[in-house]
Amino acid sequence: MRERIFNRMGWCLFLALVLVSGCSCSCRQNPAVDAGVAGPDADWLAGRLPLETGTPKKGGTLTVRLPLEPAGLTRLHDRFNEGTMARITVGPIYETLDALSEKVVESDDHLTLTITLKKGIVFHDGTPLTSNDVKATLGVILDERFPTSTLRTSLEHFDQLQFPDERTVIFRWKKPYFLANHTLLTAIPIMPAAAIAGPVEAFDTLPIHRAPIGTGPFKFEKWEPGVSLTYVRADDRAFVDKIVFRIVKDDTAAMTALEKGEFDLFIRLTPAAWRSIESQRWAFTGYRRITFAENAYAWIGFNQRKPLFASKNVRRALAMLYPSETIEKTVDLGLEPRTSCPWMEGTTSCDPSVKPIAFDPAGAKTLLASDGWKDSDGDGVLDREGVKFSFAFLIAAQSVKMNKLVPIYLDTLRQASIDARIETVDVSAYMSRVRAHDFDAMALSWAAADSLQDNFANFHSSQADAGNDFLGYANPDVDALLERIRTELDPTARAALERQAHKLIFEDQAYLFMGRRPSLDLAKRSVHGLVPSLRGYDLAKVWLAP
Amino acid sequence: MKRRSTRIAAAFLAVLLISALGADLIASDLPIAVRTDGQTYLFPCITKPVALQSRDLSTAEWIVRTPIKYGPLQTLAVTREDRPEPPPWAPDDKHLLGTDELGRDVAARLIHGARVSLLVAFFTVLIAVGVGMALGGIAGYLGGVVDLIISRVLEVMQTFPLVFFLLALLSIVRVQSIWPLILALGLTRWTEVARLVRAEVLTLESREFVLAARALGASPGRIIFRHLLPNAMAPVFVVATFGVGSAILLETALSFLGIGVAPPTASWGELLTEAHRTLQHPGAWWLAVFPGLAIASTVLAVNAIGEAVRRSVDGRA
Amino acid sequence: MKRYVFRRLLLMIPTFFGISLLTFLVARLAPGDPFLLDLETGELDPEAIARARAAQGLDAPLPLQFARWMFHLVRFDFGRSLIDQRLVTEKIFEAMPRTALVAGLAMILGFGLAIPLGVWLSTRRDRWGRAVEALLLTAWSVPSFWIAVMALMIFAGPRFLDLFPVQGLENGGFVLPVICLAFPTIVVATRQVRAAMEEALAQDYVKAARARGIPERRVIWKHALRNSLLPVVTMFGLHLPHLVGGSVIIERIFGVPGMGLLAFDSIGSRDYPTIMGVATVMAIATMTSMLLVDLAYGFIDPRIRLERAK
Repeated sequence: MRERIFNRMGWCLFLALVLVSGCSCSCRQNPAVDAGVAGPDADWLAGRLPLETGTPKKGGTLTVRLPLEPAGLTRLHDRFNEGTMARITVGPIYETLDALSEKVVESDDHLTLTITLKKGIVFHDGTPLTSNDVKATLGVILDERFPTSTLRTSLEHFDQLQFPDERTVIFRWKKPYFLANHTLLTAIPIMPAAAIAGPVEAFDTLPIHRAPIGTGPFKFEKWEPGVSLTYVRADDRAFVDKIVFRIVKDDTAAMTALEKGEFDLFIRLTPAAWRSIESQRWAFTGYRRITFAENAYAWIGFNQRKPLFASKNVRRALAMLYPSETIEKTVDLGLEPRTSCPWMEGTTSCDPSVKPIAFDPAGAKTLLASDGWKDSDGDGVLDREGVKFSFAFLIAAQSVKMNKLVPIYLDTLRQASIDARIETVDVSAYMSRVRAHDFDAMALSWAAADSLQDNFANFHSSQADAGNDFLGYANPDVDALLERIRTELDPTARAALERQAHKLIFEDQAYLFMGRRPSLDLAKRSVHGLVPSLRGYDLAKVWLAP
Repeated sequence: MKRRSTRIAAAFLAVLLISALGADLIASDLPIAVRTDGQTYLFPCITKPVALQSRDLSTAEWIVRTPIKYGPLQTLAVTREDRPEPPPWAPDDKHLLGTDELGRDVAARLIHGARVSLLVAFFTVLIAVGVGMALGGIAGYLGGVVDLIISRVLEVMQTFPLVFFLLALLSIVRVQSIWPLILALGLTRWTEVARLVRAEVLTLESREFVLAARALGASPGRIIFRHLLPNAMAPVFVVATFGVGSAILLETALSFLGIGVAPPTASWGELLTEAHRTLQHPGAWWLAVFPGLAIASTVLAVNAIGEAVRRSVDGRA
Repeated sequence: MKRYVFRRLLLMIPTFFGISLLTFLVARLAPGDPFLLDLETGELDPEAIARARAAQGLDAPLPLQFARWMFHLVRFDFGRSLIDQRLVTEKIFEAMPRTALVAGLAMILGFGLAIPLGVWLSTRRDRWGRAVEALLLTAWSVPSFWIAVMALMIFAGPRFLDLFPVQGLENGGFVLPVICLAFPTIVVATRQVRAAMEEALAQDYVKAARARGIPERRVIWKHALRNSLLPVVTMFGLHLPHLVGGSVIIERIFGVPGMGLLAFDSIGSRDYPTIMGVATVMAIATMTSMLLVDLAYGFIDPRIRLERAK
């Protein structure tokens, strides 16, 4: 008797388990056709925003998903410099000099910049903005005792500062650098002098890091760690009364909350989520899908310090074995177009005649053979002078994309008789090993919040020991070009140099360039005034239709 | 073995164990036997001869395939399947239990995952029982300072939330092999056995056969390992059986936290974690249901056996 | 009594030292660096990293670092987080109440349900009793994280019963995490209570009580249960680390910024002071609970002399 009930109950539970797991997956499928509602329109599918009509209205609360917990909210400190944080603070709360100044005059030699600050600008704490605040902010950045090296690097040719009066600031540079004025005007948030004054030891724990005070259209209200971040409207420059950044780290949970309508704006969906909502009615009836190009690309790097990858031909062959079509379809889901350029694709910095290397196993075999790599002992793995073509691909356990992409890539390598295996470590150990150059192959992506960018740190041979040239890439011609690019202030001439550098870097296969990551966002239909830009949306322009 | 539920559980586990051990004979891209180009290969699915690995086997003279024609790690880059929609693909006649996001066969991964998961669970318990019995026996028999020290260590291990410890430890030694995982799990799970054995030894110590052995001049090591521990085995056996079940569950939890068996190696925990990651795929129910069923039924069967063992140990069936 | 408490407190010192040493070694020997390069914006000056390490005392030899840590520890100074520069104690005080709420409620729910259920099961040997038992056993065989994920989809997801918020503890959001965390406790404790009750009910004094004509209800709930509670109380103390461990998973799924999530995040970012602070606080909490359980023994069963219990 007992066992029979046991079995019956057990089976009932199993059945329930099956139904429940099955349902929670399959019931989510909600094809529009069944519901008798038209599917998504062309604009929605293409992720285009329709032209704005209607007049902006004031009021309302905008809820935005934040995928991580900020470390700090000032951007000044090296540790608080995560890209997402810059986007949510510089703009809404802090303003940079380009927004704060009435007039900017650049001298003919580009070495002097005279800035006249706007009148009547007041910080959220009530103190008026003067040139003294600019002085204090730059003082902290330029002082080497402070942990502010991230911003300091772009100001390295700084010569002197003058403050003739309360509203005028004059910068002088020692040497020309094409990014210097641009960084100064657009990347440095100006903070109240009183709030950042103090000794070096106290800098880490300044209250402003956790309760920012700026001049922007939004005022910081509160930060509940792990839960949310709240801004309120400071004045008439903005429309929405309140912005709540809700911290939801887990992607699956965030998607569930999104479907429940808990976010007005969701930035950076995963490609899988972007595709899956195409068949879900709530998504195309209630939301707009927005996609636009960002200056971000992913790449695979082979450690060129190792003899195995020192040859350009080997790297080229490895690129020929990259199954781009399969990956485009399976991993990128048709969303990340292949690139060949370390600058922003589509700008004049990239040479349009340089095309990504196509998948070509036969060509790769010939190329490897020309470099002496043959399977001479018949064990199924290429060898040369007794050394086998065998290596480990380092991936970070947390990287969803690489955990999908690398197995596919390595499968094609194995078919070409290359013995490659995966080594998974957590992201912290991953970055340490990459910085210590302790890897054979790895993958990363670079992203910039601007189309103007300096690739010196990534490809110049001087950066191989401590900089971002993790792979030990060195080419004297590229070095020379990168140095010239830095001092070339004429955009057209610089673009010509960048195109040359692009071509050389690609020919060397310094990186195995993968795809460009676009922005994949979702906004409620009631959210208006979204203007795509490389720095994210200008939240001051956003308004909510009732 | 009196009850039907126990018999069913035992039969289920036996089948599972056999298929896990013979995973290569059930699911592999290489055949069980093949004759091609005038050469006969026996069990290439186990020996994995390099000569066959990138060979087209459709021209073979004769061939005996494994029931599932895919290995656990073969992505669509190898199977060369070209379908209009990207994977995961639903179950069909090619893939009985469907495929995952990379076009890997779920059935093949499930069977090979069984081997990994059962291996982890079994050896974890083996290490835990070994360490636990040795330390518990020594502590119980020798007493005094040794007992005090071992009891302190025991207390440290029991007080400290082990997930923290495993998290910290396994984020460090994340190698592709499963042995560090097994070692870490085993070395954190011996406390229950040790406590049990220590208590058992304390009661057995004053029994006649121990006193007799001591009177005959047996060394402490001999008394502990020959006389005390074998007699303390029965309750340990119960704990060990249930331990296998909880080790399988623990493996899934660790995978979920990203510190389990490192992908791409298939384990049940990894399969279920993958299913969680892909919950966003509408309709991919097969990714969750089959690994979920496999885990639940295995743990249930192990626990049913554990119950039976406990009943027979307690002497009241 | 006083002597016993004093002795127990004294024995807690080496245990505590052991835990600290264990955490310290595990945290410090890990590869990876809290001073990570920022992947999105690019460079970080190596000199700045060296300076930051020196400022945190991370360049000193390990034994010295441990000595420093213990020295600060006795003054409850865990230092500052390497990630957001906040006081570790502040972060812990923020996270602790959330975990205490969830784990505390889970404990109450778990044992509150397990005791009556276990007693009921020990008296009901019919089909209903067995059905409930089979249910418990089956449910125990499903990975707890999967139960939590499913509970989230069913009771908080938009498709089924949209009853609770997806993330956080507000607006009734604590219900699902508490139930999911209590789940293993319910199963394990119920089985324990049932086994103890079955044993107690077979004892002579129970038979004697029955023979004296004391009502069955009173025999079960007063005489038998009182004696069955002892192993349950032991379990109560030993169970806390399990609950805390479970909270790592539950807090991650339900987005509760408590101790489990704090530990998970700080281990991921190699935030040593926070890792050690969390571990220390957790260890103190468990050791205290174990001590309290030992003391509670005496109240439940006066026959047990505390001096002898050691």
